[in-house]
Amino acid sequence: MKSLALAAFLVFCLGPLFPLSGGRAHSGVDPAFQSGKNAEDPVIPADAQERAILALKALGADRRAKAISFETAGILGVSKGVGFDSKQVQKTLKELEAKETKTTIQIDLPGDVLFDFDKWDIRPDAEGTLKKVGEIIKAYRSPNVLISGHSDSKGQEDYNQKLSMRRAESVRDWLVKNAGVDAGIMKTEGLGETKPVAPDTNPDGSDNPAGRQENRRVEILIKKQ
Amino acid sequence: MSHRSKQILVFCGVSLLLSAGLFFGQQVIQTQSHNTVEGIEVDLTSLEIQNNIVTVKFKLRNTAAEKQNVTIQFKDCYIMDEVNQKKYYGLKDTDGLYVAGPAYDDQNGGRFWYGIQAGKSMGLWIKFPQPTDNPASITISLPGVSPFESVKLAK
Repeated sequence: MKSLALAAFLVFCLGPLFPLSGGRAHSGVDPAFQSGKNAEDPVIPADAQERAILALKALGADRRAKAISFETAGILGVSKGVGFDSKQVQKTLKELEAKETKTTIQIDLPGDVLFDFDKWDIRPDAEGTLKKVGEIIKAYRSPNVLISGHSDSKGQEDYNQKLSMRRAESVRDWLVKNAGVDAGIMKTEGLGETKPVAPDTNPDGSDNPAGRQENRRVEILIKKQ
Repeated sequence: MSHRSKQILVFCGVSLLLSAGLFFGQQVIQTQSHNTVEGIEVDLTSLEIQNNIVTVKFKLRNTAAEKQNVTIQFKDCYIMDEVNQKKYYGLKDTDGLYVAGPAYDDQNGGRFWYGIQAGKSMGLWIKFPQPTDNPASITISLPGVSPFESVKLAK
């Protein structure tokens, strides 16, 4: 009797260590959304290992290994230019919610703040923000600034690309004219809807206005000296 | 109570604690933070090698107060053998899709692109080729996430 009780207790204790089933069956539905639990612990589809084995065979003996390359010291060098470490500049970076790396500063400006709907003229109330951008470019003595216009995916792709290009050019022109930034260091590109930062639709296919709003933007990438 | 009974009780107690830990918690090998999405912590929860294929699993936890959108392009994920200066990208099947998931869509071979509610988490898995030189450890790189360094490769 004691042995039976002990055995039952051990099964209870050790059961989770030795599951009887090898795993949940793949239902064909995206595993992340089968249930709340699965979203946290997604099921790897049953055919995944087979697909991986075939993929591995196709790679050949070297398994498509790539050599690791490191950025040059020149790129990694950080500018000691006038004013870049001043409190004012740091405060401005914070206000602009800039993302800073060793070599670049990225500033994302919401399209809805800079422009009216379907327009590419700078809104007067956006000028304060752009003035701050100009101050950052000059403080870092940036040799290279890339201004990229982005749109959401609503409307014609070609139209969105052109609108995003015009908006990028408007920002450049404003910085030249009003902030004294050298036109020669700035490049512009219109990426339209090709580089979204948020889903335009929800997982169930419905519209995601918040996501589309995030996607309508101008990104300014300032390379440090 | 006999000495034998005490031993059995201690054994059962330890077993209970051990199994409870596995049942209610999950092993975390290493945790890194997302560099641009605030509050997203990424746990490396599992690394297995089978048939020269490395399968890694992660758990992305949203510790922020709001829902966060996280994008991970599978094409930008790789493992590095730093000793031999080589890196290996994820395995791609005959349809050009990375053997990884969950995938929101097929763009660039597939991508993880989901909104994670505050306080919730989502899993992620990717299969890579095992490095040819059999290094003792690797670095795992996910875009936007600090690298998982010196992860032991044990068969």
